[in-house]
Amino acid sequence: MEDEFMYLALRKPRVALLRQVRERLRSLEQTPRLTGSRRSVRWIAVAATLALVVSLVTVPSMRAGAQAFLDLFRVVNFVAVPVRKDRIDALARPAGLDLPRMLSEQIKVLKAPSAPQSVASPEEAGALAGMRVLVPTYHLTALPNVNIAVTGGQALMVTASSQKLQQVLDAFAIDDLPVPADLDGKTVNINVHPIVQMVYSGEHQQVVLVESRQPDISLPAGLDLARLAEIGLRVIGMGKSEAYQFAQQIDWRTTFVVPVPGDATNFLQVTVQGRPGLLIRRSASTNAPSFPISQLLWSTPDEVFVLSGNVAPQDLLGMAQSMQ
Amino acid sequence: MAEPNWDAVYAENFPRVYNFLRYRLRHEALAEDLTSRTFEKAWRDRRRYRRDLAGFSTWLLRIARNVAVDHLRTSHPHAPLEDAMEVAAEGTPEEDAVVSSNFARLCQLVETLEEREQELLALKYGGGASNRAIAELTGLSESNVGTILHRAVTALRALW
Repeated sequence: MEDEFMYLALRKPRVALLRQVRERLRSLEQTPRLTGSRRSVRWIAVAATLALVVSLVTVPSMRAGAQAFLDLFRVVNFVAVPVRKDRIDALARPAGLDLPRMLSEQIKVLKAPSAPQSVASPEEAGALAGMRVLVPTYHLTALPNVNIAVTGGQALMVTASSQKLQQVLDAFAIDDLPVPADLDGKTVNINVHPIVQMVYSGEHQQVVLVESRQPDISLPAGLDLARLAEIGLRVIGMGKSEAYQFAQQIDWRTTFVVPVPGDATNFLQVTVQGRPGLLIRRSASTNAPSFPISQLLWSTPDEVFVLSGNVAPQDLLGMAQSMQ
Repeated sequence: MAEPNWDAVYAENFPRVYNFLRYRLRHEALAEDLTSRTFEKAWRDRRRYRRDLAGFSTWLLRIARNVAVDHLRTSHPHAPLEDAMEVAAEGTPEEDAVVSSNFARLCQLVETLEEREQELLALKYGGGASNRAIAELTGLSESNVGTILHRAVTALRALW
Protein backbone atom coordinates (compact mmCIF):
# COMPACT_ATOMS: atom_id res chain seq x y z
CA MET A 1 0.00 0.00 0.00
CA GLU A 2 1.49 3.35 -1.02
CA ASP A 3 0.99 5.29 2.18
CA GLU A 4 4.20 7.29 2.60
CA PHE A 5 2.27 10.57 2.38
CA MET A 6 0.50 9.66 5.63
CA TYR A 7 3.79 10.11 7.51
CA LEU A 8 4.61 13.52 6.06
CA ALA A 9 2.70 15.40 8.76
CA LEU A 10 4.33 13.69 11.76
CA ARG A 11 6.02 16.12 14.10
CA LYS A 12 8.42 15.69 17.00
CA PRO A 13 6.94 16.95 20.28
CA ARG A 14 8.44 20.16 21.57
CA VAL A 15 11.33 19.62 23.95
CA ALA A 16 9.67 21.99 26.43
CA LEU A 17 6.53 19.86 26.40
CA LEU A 18 8.50 16.67 27.00
CA ARG A 19 10.20 18.35 29.93
CA GLN A 20 6.99 19.76 31.39
CA VAL A 21 5.18 16.45 31.34
CA ARG A 22 8.15 14.60 32.75
CA GLU A 23 8.31 17.08 35.62
CA ARG A 24 4.59 16.74 36.09
CA LEU A 25 4.91 12.97 36.43
CA ARG A 26 7.72 13.39 38.92
CA SER A 27 5.60 15.77 40.97
CA LEU A 28 2.72 13.28 40.91
CA GLU A 29 4.99 10.73 42.46
CA GLN A 30 5.43 13.05 45.42
CA THR A 31 1.77 14.09 45.59
CA PRO A 32 -0.57 12.05 47.78
CA ARG A 33 -3.51 10.63 45.84
CA LEU A 34 -6.79 12.39 46.37
CA THR A 35 -9.01 10.44 48.69
CA GLY A 36 -12.11 11.03 50.76
CA SER A 37 -13.65 14.32 49.70
CA ARG A 38 -11.96 13.97 46.35
CA ARG A 39 -14.31 16.28 44.54
CA SER A 40 -13.92 19.15 46.97
CA VAL A 41 -10.15 18.80 47.09
CA ARG A 42 -10.02 18.88 43.30
CA TRP A 43 -12.29 21.86 43.18
CA ILE A 44 -10.10 23.77 45.59
CA ALA A 45 -7.10 23.02 43.39
CA VAL A 46 -8.95 24.28 40.33
CA ALA A 47 -10.19 27.38 42.08
CA ALA A 48 -6.75 28.19 43.45
CA THR A 49 -5.16 27.85 40.04
CA LEU A 50 -7.88 29.91 38.45
CA ALA A 51 -7.48 32.64 41.00
CA LEU A 52 -3.73 32.70 40.47
CA VAL A 53 -3.96 33.13 36.73
CA VAL A 54 -6.85 35.56 36.73
CA SER A 55 -5.09 37.68 39.30
CA LEU A 56 -2.24 38.31 36.91
CA VAL A 57 -4.37 40.72 34.97
CA THR A 58 -7.09 41.63 37.42
CA VAL A 59 -5.33 42.37 40.68
CA PRO A 60 -5.82 46.13 40.98
CA SER A 61 -2.27 46.93 41.97
CA MET A 62 -0.79 45.03 39.06
CA ARG A 63 -3.26 46.48 36.61
CA ALA A 64 -2.97 49.98 37.89
CA GLY A 65 0.79 49.62 37.86
CA ALA A 66 0.81 48.50 34.27
CA GLN A 67 -1.52 51.28 33.27
CA ALA A 68 0.39 53.90 35.17
CA PHE A 69 3.67 52.95 33.62
CA LEU A 70 2.63 51.81 30.19
CA ASP A 71 0.26 54.56 29.05
CA LEU A 72 -2.94 53.10 27.69
CA PHE A 73 -5.31 55.22 25.73
CA ARG A 74 -7.21 52.52 23.93
CA VAL A 75 -6.55 48.82 24.18
CA VAL A 76 -6.11 47.45 20.70
CA ASN A 77 -3.36 44.88 21.16
CA PHE A 78 -2.43 42.55 23.97
CA VAL A 79 1.16 41.49 24.38
CA ALA A 80 2.35 38.90 26.86
CA VAL A 81 5.62 39.51 28.62
CA PRO A 82 7.27 36.75 30.66
CA VAL A 83 7.95 37.81 34.23
CA ARG A 84 10.63 36.32 36.43
CA LYS A 85 9.04 34.89 39.53
CA ASP A 86 11.85 36.06 41.77
CA ARG A 87 11.23 39.62 40.60
CA ILE A 88 7.51 39.43 41.38
CA ASP A 89 8.28 37.95 44.79
CA ALA A 90 10.76 40.71 45.50
CA LEU A 91 8.37 43.42 44.33
CA ALA A 92 5.47 42.11 46.40
CA ARG A 93 7.31 41.16 49.61
CA PRO A 94 6.26 43.44 52.48
CA ALA A 95 9.76 43.29 53.93
CA GLY A 96 11.26 44.24 50.58
CA LEU A 97 10.07 46.79 48.06
CA ASP A 98 6.40 46.15 48.84
CA LEU A 99 5.20 47.43 45.49
CA PRO A 100 1.51 47.21 46.44
CA ARG A 101 2.12 49.62 49.34
CA MET A 102 4.35 51.81 47.21
CA LEU A 103 1.69 52.03 44.52
CA SER A 104 -1.09 52.60 46.99
CA GLU A 105 0.76 55.65 48.24
CA GLN A 106 0.82 57.01 44.71
CA ILE A 107 -2.76 56.09 43.82
CA LYS A 108 -5.66 58.20 44.91
CA VAL A 109 -9.04 56.52 44.63
CA LEU A 110 -11.44 59.11 43.29
CA LYS A 111 -14.32 56.68 43.11
CA ALA A 112 -14.37 53.23 44.72
CA PRO A 113 -16.02 50.33 42.90
CA SER A 114 -19.32 49.09 44.28
CA ALA A 115 -19.70 45.51 45.48
CA PRO A 116 -20.65 42.94 42.82
CA GLN A 117 -24.39 42.80 42.27
CA SER A 118 -26.02 39.59 41.00
CA VAL A 119 -28.39 39.95 38.08
CA ALA A 120 -30.70 37.56 36.28
CA SER A 121 -29.80 38.14 32.66
CA PRO A 122 -27.24 39.72 30.33
CA GLU A 123 -29.84 42.34 29.46
CA GLU A 124 -30.19 43.31 33.10
CA ALA A 125 -26.40 43.38 33.42
CA GLY A 126 -26.18 45.61 30.38
CA ALA A 127 -28.75 48.01 31.77
CA LEU A 128 -26.87 48.20 35.06
CA ALA A 129 -23.44 48.56 33.47
CA GLY A 130 -24.55 50.95 30.75
CA MET A 131 -23.23 48.85 27.93
CA ARG A 132 -24.32 46.25 25.43
CA VAL A 133 -23.37 42.91 26.94
CA LEU A 134 -22.22 40.29 24.46
CA VAL A 135 -22.70 36.59 25.21
CA PRO A 136 -21.24 33.47 23.58
CA THR A 137 -23.58 31.32 21.52
CA TYR A 138 -21.05 28.49 21.65
CA HIS A 139 -22.03 26.54 24.74
CA LEU A 140 -20.24 23.72 26.50
CA THR A 141 -22.44 20.96 27.87
CA ALA A 142 -20.02 20.59 30.78
CA LEU A 143 -20.91 24.12 31.94
CA PRO A 144 -24.67 24.19 32.48
CA ASN A 145 -24.79 26.89 35.18
CA VAL A 146 -24.49 30.62 34.56
CA ASN A 147 -24.14 33.34 37.17
CA ILE A 148 -23.97 37.00 36.21
CA ALA A 149 -22.78 39.90 38.34
CA VAL A 150 -21.96 43.56 37.76
CA THR A 151 -19.30 45.51 39.64
CA GLY A 152 -19.46 49.29 39.61
CA GLY A 153 -16.82 51.40 37.96
CA GLN A 154 -13.95 53.17 39.66
CA ALA A 155 -11.78 56.18 39.11
CA LEU A 156 -8.13 56.53 40.10
CA MET A 157 -5.46 59.15 39.89
CA VAL A 158 -1.86 57.98 39.84
CA THR A 159 0.90 60.41 40.69
CA ALA A 160 4.36 59.55 39.47
CA SER A 161 7.30 59.60 41.85
CA SER A 162 10.84 59.68 40.48
CA GLN A 163 12.23 58.82 43.87
CA LYS A 164 10.20 55.64 44.24
CA LEU A 165 10.89 54.51 40.73
CA GLN A 166 14.58 55.03 41.41
CA GLN A 167 14.25 52.89 44.56
CA VAL A 168 12.89 50.05 42.42
CA LEU A 169 15.74 50.38 39.94
CA ASP A 170 18.29 50.46 42.73
CA ALA A 171 16.80 47.34 44.30
CA PHE A 172 17.52 45.41 41.11
CA ALA A 173 20.86 47.10 40.41
CA ILE A 174 19.59 48.63 37.18
CA ASP A 175 21.95 51.58 36.85
CA ASP A 176 22.03 52.19 33.12
CA LEU A 177 18.50 53.59 32.80
CA PRO A 178 17.97 57.08 34.21
CA VAL A 179 14.50 57.93 35.44
CA PRO A 180 13.06 60.70 33.21
CA ALA A 181 13.80 64.00 34.95
CA ASP A 182 10.37 65.51 34.34
CA LEU A 183 8.41 62.52 35.62
CA ASP A 184 7.97 63.60 39.20
CA GLY A 185 4.48 64.75 40.13
CA LYS A 186 2.88 64.00 36.78
CA THR A 187 -0.55 62.41 37.03
CA VAL A 188 -2.46 59.79 35.11
CA ASN A 189 -6.22 59.62 35.42
CA ILE A 190 -7.88 56.26 34.98
CA ASN A 191 -11.60 55.72 34.75
CA VAL A 192 -12.63 52.07 34.78
CA HIS A 193 -16.22 51.45 33.70
CA PRO A 194 -18.55 48.90 35.33
CA ILE A 195 -17.48 45.32 34.82
CA VAL A 196 -19.85 42.50 33.86
CA GLN A 197 -18.76 39.04 34.95
CA MET A 198 -20.42 35.84 33.74
CA VAL A 199 -19.40 32.58 35.36
CA TYR A 200 -20.19 29.39 33.42
CA SER A 201 -19.70 26.38 35.65
CA GLY A 202 -20.14 22.64 35.85
CA GLU A 203 -18.99 19.88 38.11
CA HIS A 204 -15.28 20.20 37.42
CA GLN A 205 -14.94 23.05 35.00
CA GLN A 206 -15.50 26.75 35.01
CA VAL A 207 -15.19 29.59 32.54
CA VAL A 208 -15.27 33.22 33.62
CA LEU A 209 -16.13 35.88 31.05
CA VAL A 210 -15.34 39.46 31.99
CA GLU A 211 -16.32 42.39 29.81
CA SER A 212 -16.20 46.11 30.26
CA ARG A 213 -16.13 49.27 28.22
CA GLN A 214 -12.66 50.47 27.31
CA PRO A 215 -11.14 52.34 30.25
CA ASP A 216 -10.64 56.10 29.84
CA ILE A 217 -7.06 57.05 30.52
CA SER A 218 -5.69 60.54 30.24
CA LEU A 219 -1.97 61.14 30.29
CA PRO A 220 0.18 64.21 30.73
CA ALA A 221 1.68 65.51 27.53
CA GLY A 222 5.27 64.74 26.69
CA LEU A 223 5.65 61.55 28.71
CA ASP A 224 8.44 59.35 27.35
CA LEU A 225 6.40 56.17 27.22
CA ALA A 226 9.04 54.05 25.54
CA ARG A 227 11.58 54.92 28.24
CA LEU A 228 9.11 54.19 31.05
CA ALA A 229 8.13 50.95 29.38
CA GLU A 230 11.78 49.96 29.06
CA ILE A 231 12.21 50.57 32.78
CA GLY A 232 9.12 48.48 33.53
CA LEU A 233 10.32 45.63 31.33
CA ARG A 234 13.75 45.61 32.96
CA VAL A 235 12.15 45.58 36.41
CA ILE A 236 10.13 42.46 35.62
CA GLY A 237 13.25 40.70 34.45
CA MET A 238 13.70 41.30 30.72
CA GLY A 239 17.28 41.59 29.44
CA LYS A 240 18.86 44.92 28.58
CA SER A 241 18.87 44.83 24.76
CA GLU A 242 15.61 42.90 24.57
CA ALA A 243 13.82 45.43 26.77
CA TYR A 244 15.17 48.31 24.69
CA GLN A 245 14.11 46.79 21.38
CA PHE A 246 10.74 45.69 22.73
CA ALA A 247 10.04 49.13 24.16
CA GLN A 248 10.89 50.80 20.86
CA GLN A 249 8.78 48.45 18.76
CA ILE A 250 5.53 48.57 20.72
CA ASP A 251 2.91 51.26 20.34
CA TRP A 252 2.39 51.95 24.02
CA ARG A 253 -0.74 53.99 23.42
CA THR A 254 -2.67 50.97 22.14
CA THR A 255 -0.99 47.98 23.73
CA PHE A 256 -1.88 46.29 26.98
CA VAL A 257 1.03 44.37 28.44
CA VAL A 258 0.06 41.18 30.26
CA PRO A 259 2.71 39.93 32.68
CA VAL A 260 2.81 36.13 32.78
CA PRO A 261 5.08 33.76 34.69
CA GLY A 262 7.77 32.88 32.20
CA ASP A 263 8.43 29.35 33.38
CA ALA A 264 4.89 28.02 33.50
CA THR A 265 3.02 29.45 30.55
CA ASN A 266 3.05 29.80 26.83
CA PHE A 267 1.09 32.28 24.81
CA LEU A 268 -0.15 32.79 21.29
CA GLN A 269 -1.31 35.76 19.28
CA VAL A 270 -4.75 34.88 17.96
CA THR A 271 -7.53 36.55 16.03
CA VAL A 272 -10.96 36.92 17.58
CA GLN A 273 -13.65 38.11 15.22
CA GLY A 274 -11.01 39.80 13.12
CA ARG A 275 -9.30 41.55 16.03
CA PRO A 276 -5.98 40.71 17.65
CA GLY A 277 -6.13 38.74 20.87
CA LEU A 278 -3.82 36.92 23.21
CA LEU A 279 -4.25 33.32 24.32
CA ILE A 280 -2.33 32.35 27.46
CA ARG A 281 -2.01 28.65 28.09
CA ARG A 282 -0.80 27.22 31.34
CA SER A 283 1.55 24.29 31.21
CA ALA A 284 0.24 20.98 32.47
CA SER A 285 2.16 21.21 35.70
CA THR A 286 -0.73 22.29 37.90
CA ASN A 287 -2.70 19.92 40.08
CA ALA A 288 -5.98 20.55 38.28
CA PRO A 289 -7.97 17.46 37.30
CA SER A 290 -9.17 19.02 34.09
CA PHE A 291 -7.41 21.17 31.51
CA PRO A 292 -4.87 23.66 32.79
CA ILE A 293 -6.23 27.18 33.00
CA SER A 294 -6.21 29.13 29.78
CA GLN A 295 -6.95 32.79 29.36
CA LEU A 296 -8.00 34.74 26.29
CA LEU A 297 -7.92 38.54 26.05
CA TRP A 298 -9.18 40.69 23.20
CA SER A 299 -10.89 43.98 22.58
CA THR A 300 -13.12 45.92 20.23
CA PRO A 301 -12.99 49.70 19.79
CA ASP A 302 -15.53 49.99 22.61
CA GLU A 303 -14.98 47.03 24.93
CA VAL A 304 -12.37 44.81 26.52
CA PHE A 305 -12.94 41.08 27.11
CA VAL A 306 -11.21 38.40 29.18
CA LEU A 307 -12.19 34.72 29.12
CA SER A 308 -10.55 32.37 31.63
CA GLY A 309 -11.21 28.74 32.37
CA ASN A 310 -10.04 25.19 32.78
CA VAL A 311 -11.40 24.01 29.44
CA ALA A 312 -9.67 23.22 26.17
CA PRO A 313 -8.09 26.36 24.68
CA GLN A 314 -10.04 25.94 21.46
CA ASP A 315 -13.26 25.97 23.48
CA LEU A 316 -12.32 29.38 24.85
CA LEU A 317 -11.64 30.49 21.30
CA GLY A 318 -14.92 28.96 20.18
CA MET A 319 -16.77 30.93 22.84
CA ALA A 320 -14.97 34.14 21.94
CA GLN A 321 -15.61 33.74 18.22
CA SER A 322 -19.32 33.20 18.88
CA MET A 323 -19.85 36.32 21.01
CA GLN A 324 -22.78 38.41 19.85
CA MET B 1 5.41 -8.00 38.10
CA ALA B 2 8.28 -5.60 37.42
CA GLU B 3 7.33 -2.16 36.15
CA PRO B 4 8.47 -1.09 32.70
CA ASN B 5 11.47 1.18 32.45
CA TRP B 6 9.60 4.47 32.52
CA ASP B 7 12.37 6.57 31.03
CA ALA B 8 12.56 4.28 28.01
CA VAL B 9 8.79 4.04 27.77
CA TYR B 10 8.47 7.80 27.93
CA ALA B 11 11.07 8.51 25.27
CA GLU B 12 9.70 5.91 22.92
CA ASN B 13 6.00 6.48 23.34
CA PHE B 14 5.61 10.18 23.90
CA PRO B 15 5.91 11.04 20.16
CA ARG B 16 3.53 8.22 19.26
CA VAL B 17 0.84 9.34 21.69
CA TYR B 18 1.34 12.96 20.70
CA ASN B 19 1.05 12.26 17.00
CA PHE B 20 -1.91 9.93 17.50
CA LEU B 21 -3.73 12.79 19.24
CA ARG B 22 -2.64 15.30 16.58
CA TYR B 23 -3.97 13.09 13.81
CA ARG B 24 -7.08 12.21 15.77
CA LEU B 25 -8.07 15.71 16.90
CA ARG B 26 -6.32 17.63 14.12
CA HIS B 27 -5.32 20.31 16.56
CA GLU B 28 -1.76 21.00 17.65
CA ALA B 29 -2.32 22.69 20.99
CA LEU B 30 -5.06 20.33 22.06
CA ALA B 31 -2.86 17.37 21.21
CA GLU B 32 -0.24 18.71 23.59
CA ASP B 33 -2.73 19.09 26.43
CA LEU B 34 -4.23 15.65 25.93
CA THR B 35 -0.83 13.98 25.59
CA SER B 36 0.00 15.38 28.97
CA ARG B 37 -3.26 14.08 30.37
CA THR B 38 -2.69 10.64 28.85
CA PHE B 39 0.67 10.27 30.52
CA GLU B 40 -0.69 11.46 33.84
CA LYS B 41 -3.44 8.86 33.69
CA ALA B 42 -0.99 6.19 32.66
CA TRP B 43 1.35 7.12 35.49
CA ARG B 44 -1.45 7.06 38.06
CA ASP B 45 -2.73 3.71 36.74
CA ARG B 46 0.63 2.15 36.02
CA ARG B 47 0.10 -0.65 38.51
CA ARG B 48 -2.95 -1.76 36.57
CA TYR B 49 -0.93 -2.48 33.47
CA ARG B 50 -0.80 -6.19 32.74
CA ARG B 51 2.01 -7.29 30.48
CA ASP B 52 0.19 -10.49 29.60
CA LEU B 53 -2.75 -8.61 28.07
CA ALA B 54 -1.13 -5.99 25.86
CA GLY B 55 2.12 -4.33 24.90
CA PHE B 56 2.84 -1.15 26.79
CA SER B 57 2.46 1.02 23.68
CA THR B 58 -0.95 -0.46 23.04
CA TRP B 59 -1.94 0.14 26.66
CA LEU B 60 -0.87 3.78 26.37
CA LEU B 61 -2.72 4.22 23.10
CA ARG B 62 -5.83 2.80 24.75
CA ILE B 63 -5.61 5.49 27.41
CA ALA B 64 -4.97 8.16 24.79
CA ARG B 65 -7.93 6.91 22.80
CA ASN B 66 -10.20 7.14 25.85
CA VAL B 67 -8.90 10.63 26.62
CA ALA B 68 -9.69 11.67 23.04
CA VAL B 69 -13.15 10.08 23.18
CA ASP B 70 -13.90 11.89 26.45
CA HIS B 71 -12.84 15.14 24.90
CA LEU B 72 -14.88 14.64 21.74
CA ARG B 73 -17.93 13.71 23.80
CA THR B 74 -17.84 16.84 25.90
CA SER B 75 -16.95 19.25 23.10
CA HIS B 76 -19.07 20.82 20.45
CA PRO B 77 -18.06 21.00 16.85
CA HIS B 78 -16.41 24.26 16.06
CA ALA B 79 -14.87 26.09 13.19
CA PRO B 80 -11.29 25.00 12.51
CA LEU B 81 -8.88 27.20 14.38
CA GLU B 82 -5.64 25.46 13.55
CA ASP B 83 -3.97 28.66 12.42
CA ALA B 84 -4.65 30.30 15.74
CA MET B 85 -3.51 27.28 17.69
CA GLU B 86 -0.23 26.72 15.94
CA VAL B 87 2.32 25.55 18.45
CA ALA B 88 5.80 26.96 18.18
CA ALA B 89 7.82 24.40 16.26
CA GLU B 90 11.46 23.55 16.74
CA GLY B 91 12.78 22.32 13.41
CA THR B 92 14.20 24.60 10.76
CA PRO B 93 11.64 27.10 9.48
CA GLU B 94 11.58 25.28 6.14
CA GLU B 95 10.96 21.88 7.73
CA ASP B 96 8.28 23.27 10.00
CA ALA B 97 6.56 24.98 7.12
CA VAL B 98 6.48 21.73 5.15
CA VAL B 99 5.14 19.72 8.10
CA SER B 100 2.53 22.36 8.87
CA SER B 101 1.45 22.48 5.27
CA ASN B 102 1.20 18.69 5.05
CA PHE B 103 -0.67 18.54 8.34
CA ALA B 104 -3.20 21.15 7.23
CA ARG B 105 -3.71 19.35 3.95
CA LEU B 106 -4.07 15.97 5.60
CA CYS B 107 -6.54 17.36 8.15
CA GLN B 108 -8.67 18.74 5.39
CA LEU B 109 -8.76 15.42 3.55
CA VAL B 110 -9.29 13.26 6.64
CA GLU B 111 -12.32 15.30 7.60
CA THR B 112 -14.13 13.85 4.60
CA LEU B 113 -13.81 10.31 5.99
CA GLU B 114 -16.02 8.50 8.49
CA GLU B 115 -15.20 8.71 12.19
CA ARG B 116 -14.06 5.09 12.37
CA GLU B 117 -11.73 5.54 9.42
CA GLN B 118 -10.34 8.71 10.96
CA GLU B 119 -9.59 6.92 14.21
CA LEU B 120 -7.94 3.95 12.57
CA LEU B 121 -5.74 6.25 10.48
CA ALA B 122 -4.70 8.17 13.58
CA LEU B 123 -3.80 4.96 15.41
CA LYS B 124 -1.88 3.57 12.46
CA TYR B 125 -0.02 6.59 11.15
CA GLY B 126 0.02 8.92 14.14
CA GLY B 127 0.36 6.33 16.89
CA GLY B 128 2.41 3.86 14.89
CA ALA B 129 0.18 0.95 15.92
CA SER B 130 0.16 -2.34 14.06
CA ASN B 131 -3.05 -3.67 12.56
CA ARG B 132 -3.12 -6.28 15.32
CA ALA B 133 -2.81 -3.65 18.02
CA ILE B 134 -5.54 -1.57 16.38
CA ALA B 135 -7.76 -4.64 16.33
CA GLU B 136 -7.16 -5.10 20.06
CA LEU B 137 -7.98 -1.48 20.73
CA THR B 138 -11.09 -1.22 18.64
CA GLY B 139 -12.58 -4.69 18.87
CA LEU B 140 -12.48 -5.10 15.10
CA SER B 141 -10.88 -8.12 13.48
CA GLU B 142 -7.36 -7.65 12.17
CA SER B 143 -8.47 -8.30 8.61
CA ASN B 144 -11.27 -5.79 8.96
CA VAL B 145 -8.78 -3.19 10.20
CA GLY B 146 -6.60 -3.85 7.18
CA THR B 147 -9.53 -3.50 4.81
CA ILE B 148 -10.77 -0.25 6.32
CA LEU B 149 -7.28 1.27 6.34
CA HIS B 150 -6.62 0.22 2.77
CA ARG B 151 -9.86 1.77 1.60
CA ALA B 152 -9.26 4.99 3.54
CA VAL B 153 -5.67 5.42 2.40
CA THR B 154 -6.62 4.74 -1.20
CA ALA B 155 -9.28 7.41 -1.01
CA LEU B 156 -6.87 9.92 0.54
CA ARG B 157 -4.07 9.14 -1.89
CA ALA B 158 -6.37 9.90 -4.81
CA LEU B 159 -6.92 13.37 -3.37
CA TRP B 160 -3.36 14.05 -2.13
